[in-house]
Amino acid sequence: MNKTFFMRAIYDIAILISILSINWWFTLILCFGGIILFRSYYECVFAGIALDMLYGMPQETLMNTSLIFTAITSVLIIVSGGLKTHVRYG
Amino acid sequence: MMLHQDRRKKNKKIKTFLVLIICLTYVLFISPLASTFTGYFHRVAQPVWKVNTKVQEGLSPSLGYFSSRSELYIENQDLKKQLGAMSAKLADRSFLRHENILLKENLGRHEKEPERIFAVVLAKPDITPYDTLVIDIGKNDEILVGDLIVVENVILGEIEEVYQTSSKVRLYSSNNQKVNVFIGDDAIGAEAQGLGGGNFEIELPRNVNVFVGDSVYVSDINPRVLGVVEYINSDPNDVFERILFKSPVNPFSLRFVDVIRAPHE
Repeated sequence: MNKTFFMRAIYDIAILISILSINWWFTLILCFGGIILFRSYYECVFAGIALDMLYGMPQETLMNTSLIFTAITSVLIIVSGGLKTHVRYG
Repeated sequence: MMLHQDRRKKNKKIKTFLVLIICLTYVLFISPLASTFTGYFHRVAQPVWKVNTKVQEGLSPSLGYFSSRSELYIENQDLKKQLGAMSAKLADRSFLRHENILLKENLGRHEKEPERIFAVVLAKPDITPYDTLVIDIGKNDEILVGDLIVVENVILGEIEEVYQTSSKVRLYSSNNQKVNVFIGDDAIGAEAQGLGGGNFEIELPRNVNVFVGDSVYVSDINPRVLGVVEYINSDPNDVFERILFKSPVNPFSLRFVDVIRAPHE
C-alpha cells in the first residue's frame, strides 16, 4: 500500500466525518483541498451526492431540484482537470 | 500526435465521468427508488448523528470553563433581566388562553388539542444547508408530508420528506420560503419570507401599526407564534417598510421538537 493511497483514504474518512458532523461548507473546503492535493479526486463528487441525499431539499431557484452540491463538485472536478493540465507547480 | 492522443483520452474520461454522474443522479434523486436510497443513507448516518449530538452535549460544559468570569456575570445579569420581562408577559397568559378556549366553545368552535409526537433532531442548520432539519421519526411513527414542527407554541416548519425511520423538515425560515402571517394586536395580514437562520422579512406599507416586540402568528384557528419583530427599516423615500423578525427558537441550538398533524387532516 503506497503512501498516497493511504493519505487519500484518510482524507476520504475526514470528508465522510465532515459530511455527517461538521458544517456543510467545511466539507466543500475539504473537497476543494482534495482536488488540489490528489489526482482525479472523484470522491468529492460522491461527497456532493451524499450531502444532497442527506440534507437536500428541492429549491425553487434550482428548478425544484436538490442537486446543488452534486453540481458544484462535478463542475469543480471537471474545471480542475482542465486547469491541472495547463498549470504546473514549481 | 501524442498530445492529441492525450487530449482524446482526457475527453473520453470526462465523457465517461459525466455519463456516470447523470446515471447516478437519475437513480439516486429522480427514479422511484430515490426515496428508498435516501432512507438507507439516513439509517446508516443515524448512529453517527447520535454520537455527534452526545459529543457536543459533553463538550459544551467543558468549553464553558474557558469563558471569563466577568463575561459569565454579564450574561447572567442579562438573562435575569430577560427572565423578569418574560415572567411579566406570561403572567396572564394561562388566564387569557382559558378565556380564549371558552369563547371559542361558546361560538361553536371546539378546540381539539392535536396529537404531538416527540422527535429528536439528528441534524440541524449548522451541519445542514438550506435551513433543513433531520428528525428521528418517520413512516414507522405514521408521520406524513405536511405535518407541522413545533416547539411549545412556536411553529418552525413542516415535514417535507418522510423515510422509514427519519424525516426531513423544511424550516419556514428557509431562504425564499413564504408563509401567510398576522402581525401584532391589529392582526395585520402579510406574507413573510424566510431569510435563513430563523430570520424572516415582511414588506408592508409605511405607517402601519407594527412595533418592535410585536408577535407574528401563522393564521389558523389555533394561532402559533412564528416570530417576534426585531427591527423595522423605514425609509422616508420608500412607500414600503421592511419588517425583520426572528423565531424565538434558535434553529442552531434545537435538540427536540414536536410533530403535530397538519390542520387539513
